[in-house]
Amino acid sequence: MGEESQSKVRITVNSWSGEVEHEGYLLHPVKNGYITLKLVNGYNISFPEESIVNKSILETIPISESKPKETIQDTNLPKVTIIHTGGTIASKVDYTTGAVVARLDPDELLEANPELSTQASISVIRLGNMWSDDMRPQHWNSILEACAEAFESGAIGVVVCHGTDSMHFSSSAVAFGWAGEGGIPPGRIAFTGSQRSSDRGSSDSSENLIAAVHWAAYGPKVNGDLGDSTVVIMHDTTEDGTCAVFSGVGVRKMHTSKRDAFKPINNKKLALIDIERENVNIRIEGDWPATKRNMCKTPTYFNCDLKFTHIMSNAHLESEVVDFVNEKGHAGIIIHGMGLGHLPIEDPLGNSPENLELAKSIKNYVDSGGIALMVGQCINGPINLDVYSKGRNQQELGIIGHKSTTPPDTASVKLHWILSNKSTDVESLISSNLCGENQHTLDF
Amino acid sequence: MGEEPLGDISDVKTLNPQQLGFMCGLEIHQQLNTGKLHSREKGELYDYTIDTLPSNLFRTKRKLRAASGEGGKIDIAARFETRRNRSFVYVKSPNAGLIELDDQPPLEHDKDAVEIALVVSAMLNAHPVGTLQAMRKTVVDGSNTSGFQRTTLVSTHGKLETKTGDVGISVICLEEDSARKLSSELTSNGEVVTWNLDRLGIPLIEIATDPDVKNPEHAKETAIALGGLLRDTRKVRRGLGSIRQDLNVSIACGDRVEIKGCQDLEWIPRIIELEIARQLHFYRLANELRETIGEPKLPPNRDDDDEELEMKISQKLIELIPFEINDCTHLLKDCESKMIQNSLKNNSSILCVKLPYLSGRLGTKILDSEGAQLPRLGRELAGAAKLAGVAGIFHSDELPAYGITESNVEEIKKEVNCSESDAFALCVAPEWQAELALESVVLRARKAWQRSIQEVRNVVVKKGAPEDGTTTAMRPLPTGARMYPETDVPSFELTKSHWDEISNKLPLTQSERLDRLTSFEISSDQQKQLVSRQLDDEFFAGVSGNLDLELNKLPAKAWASMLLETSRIQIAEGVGIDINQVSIKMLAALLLVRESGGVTRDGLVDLGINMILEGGTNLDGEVTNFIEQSMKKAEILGLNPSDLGSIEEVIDRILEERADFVAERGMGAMGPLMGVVIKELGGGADGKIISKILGERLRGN
Repeated sequence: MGEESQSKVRITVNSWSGEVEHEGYLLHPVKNGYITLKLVNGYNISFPEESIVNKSILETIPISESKPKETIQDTNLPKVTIIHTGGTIASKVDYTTGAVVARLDPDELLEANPELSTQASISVIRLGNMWSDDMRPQHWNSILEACAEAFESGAIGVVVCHGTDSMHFSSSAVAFGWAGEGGIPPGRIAFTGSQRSSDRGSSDSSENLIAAVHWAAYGPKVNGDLGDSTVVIMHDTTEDGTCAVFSGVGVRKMHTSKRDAFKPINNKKLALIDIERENVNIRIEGDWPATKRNMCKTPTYFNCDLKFTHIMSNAHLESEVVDFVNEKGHAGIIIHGMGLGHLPIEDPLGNSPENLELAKSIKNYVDSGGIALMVGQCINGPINLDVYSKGRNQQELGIIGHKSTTPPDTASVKLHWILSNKSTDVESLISSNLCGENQHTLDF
Repeated sequence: MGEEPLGDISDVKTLNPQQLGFMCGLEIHQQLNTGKLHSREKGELYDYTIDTLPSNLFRTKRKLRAASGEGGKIDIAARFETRRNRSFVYVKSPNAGLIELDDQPPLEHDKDAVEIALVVSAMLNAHPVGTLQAMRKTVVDGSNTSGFQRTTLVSTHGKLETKTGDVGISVICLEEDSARKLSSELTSNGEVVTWNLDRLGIPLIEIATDPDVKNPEHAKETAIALGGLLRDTRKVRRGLGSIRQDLNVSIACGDRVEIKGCQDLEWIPRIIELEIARQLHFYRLANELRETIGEPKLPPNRDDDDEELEMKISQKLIELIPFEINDCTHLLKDCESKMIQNSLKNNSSILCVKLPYLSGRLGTKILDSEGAQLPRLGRELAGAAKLAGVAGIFHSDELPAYGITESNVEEIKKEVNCSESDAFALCVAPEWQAELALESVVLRARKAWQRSIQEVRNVVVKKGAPEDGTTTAMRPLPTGARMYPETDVPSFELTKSHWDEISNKLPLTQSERLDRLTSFEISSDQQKQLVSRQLDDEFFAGVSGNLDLELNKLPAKAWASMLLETSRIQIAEGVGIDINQVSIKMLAALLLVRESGGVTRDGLVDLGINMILEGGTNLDGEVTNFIEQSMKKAEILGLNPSDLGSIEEVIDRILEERADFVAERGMGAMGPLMGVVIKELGGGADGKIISKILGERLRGN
């Protein structure tokens, strides 16, 4: 990238079976110490630099930046702002380097997905281009700010293009930011991404984006209690043609690579969106009552000075980890417990003193003001610390999270939001249902 | 300026390739007998048809979109494909997984496949690349779930020697085979194509030659030579569809086309001749048409084309042959054509476009001196329409016919305002599809005034064989723009020592293999069979004592017979295992047991079955022990040869007991008595010996 010209060269190479000539365009080398050409037949060919006997430049041609066609947008259509954070969804491949670069321009997005221009009048806010696994709470705040900017400038809905790995953290964060205090955001907020890069014909990105823009423009009015303050829109199954609308606080990435990686957690799909050529159709699952909430004008944010640690409860868990976290002053530990929410803290056979150490360390941590929040490593199902005596003992240690059905990652974001915005009564806020994340009855 | 091309297209024998500036190269695609290239699934085929598909196989429905290719250009073929609104149903065969379903990233190259590609490269004296890098080649016909085919350049600049002359090898690549089409169904909302994923990802070696092929016969010779060379590696799949040949053909006054579907090598010369005739026809037609619009003729060689002039003409043609759709449904709603009536019931429309200047130039079906359809513009226009998924078109040169009457034709002409020199084309299909088809027809019609198009063509096939050697257009010729790096698969270096190791150990050729067998006392038929059934290496190892340290050299004649007869497969079937699990070593050991008199000829299979059932198939370091155990086992089972005396005793007793029967039948008693004697003696007696003694006794009677 950045080069303004491209050279056509002829090289003489000492290959393993003698000298040979190749002609082609010089590319960014496949690795250091190599020379890479694009041959006329399209193949890239690479040789170690030391094997090049001769190289002559045949011609140098300027690279014509291919400008996307300007699309005249219909301003009568609902105004939707696309917030670009990165990920494969709104990106294209830089074919010379193989790197993924952002598709920043609305014109580019519209050229690649002409259907969008019949759905909405699109504007774009570019936050950056990052893998979602690099995201930190400060990036959740940036998305919240960008949403506020979009709504202020008249958008009826917002689409956040996001890498899929941590999308459900961000969708939860933005939901608590707008709706954690009992309100609803000024418009619909849909997160979307893609599981197959958009350079390939089989990419899921276009359908996901079209569905998300359609939801942002025409979805039902935000209710808030349904967990719809933000939604995640991704493929419903491995088939094309239908996307699912998930609650932003009731969803999780459950597969590393499949198109239908996102699944509802302790929640149901809010809607399905069918896409057949130009026709996009929303199918709401169940009732969609009018909201009882007030519109929130400015979101609340996350305190980025607070630190948190996730620990996994299993046979290898040692108390030192908890002691270390305590020493470093982390505001909370999110414990991914086994089963209904259990830790190895008992020593029934008298040969596992480390279990008792762990109990002690947790107690110390809580006593020094830390919050120990139990979530489930089974992902699905409630935390219940009443069923076994073990659970009751854990409650006595000061572990909270009992009876929560908030999905584990969402619960961690919720804890961060609570500690950023409310100083008291953390336990009762964790048990309450702020914006549809903590469903008290599970039907599925 | 080149000279005007000569010859009569209705008699291909009058066409001289040299005079016409004939250029031809081949692309061979050969499946390798290894696992899949980028998943670790097996390279097996499941011969389902759409009707015999097991209902429990997972299916998923997908679409493909055109994506920007390298350099931001959307490939023409890709764009056209997107407009057809096709959807694809993929059926997951047992050897397909998430990688084949494009739901998991691919794995690195199959090592065996890379090895074979390098061996073939060395056999063709090609120059290997420094780094093997997988590329993505855009393919949007649905034959690949991902929307691209993975392909890796392995070597370049090779050479194949043939009797007619050397043929340069431009590239040797390793690529993934595509899925297999099971069916294609037209629905009101586009085409639904069903694919079997069994073949997707099986490695293919692609060998592309330089355009050094001298004439149509030489193309066949080259294809045969390359096929033989690939088989010499002994690592390629065999049988129908395991090798495919594409032909690149052009003449100076035409342009390059790639012809697919030439599976039967015998047809290659004929298909090429007909393509020469086709290109010549359209060159001449273009010049005739250019006169009607007052433009100069095309030069006889495409290299002399005046690009500026051609641009100007193509602009002019947009005005002269506008794309204006006329709805003629109302004019034909009562017509007698069953096809039209059925379509109208299914909400189809009948759309029409006017084709100025083309009346009488679309042509009707006429055959050449050898029975192939002569090239005609009407057929090319129909081919263009079919790309939109419709069944075809009706054009005015062939009407009235098909239930469309003279008066229908007159009404249509009036409706679309046709003059004497104007033709028209009708398409019956759902409106959006007919529109797309007729747009394609108009675009193709405009091209008739210019140099013939670079495109991919398909041999017209009827009942699995070429119909007459003619072809139809499939899609525009893809460009290099459809390739970009496959970033999910790491590239890897080819070291000098690896290449040297391969170059120094090239497989024997067919004739070298036959030569190697001539010094043994086996028949020439056996020699040929051993080579063609690829058993000569095993034969050679056996007679040289190289199968196992514990095994002696085997007698040539007996070993050759053993390898060629059915004992191995019978043992495998008897145990219920794959034939490859019955090792050659075990076969050799059993032969030694038999040769040393431990088991009869007829008892060997039973002995093998019993030994495997009790001791398994692994013989490593156990050969001597296996032979000893086999001798004992044969005795226990009564499979060891009875001694001659006891055989004679039994035969004599039976002959005595059945003296009347023998008297009545004479030699005719032989068959029935064989059965009685064998039953009495059990597996321990050799049928040949019994038959010999019994025969002697009966003749003596």
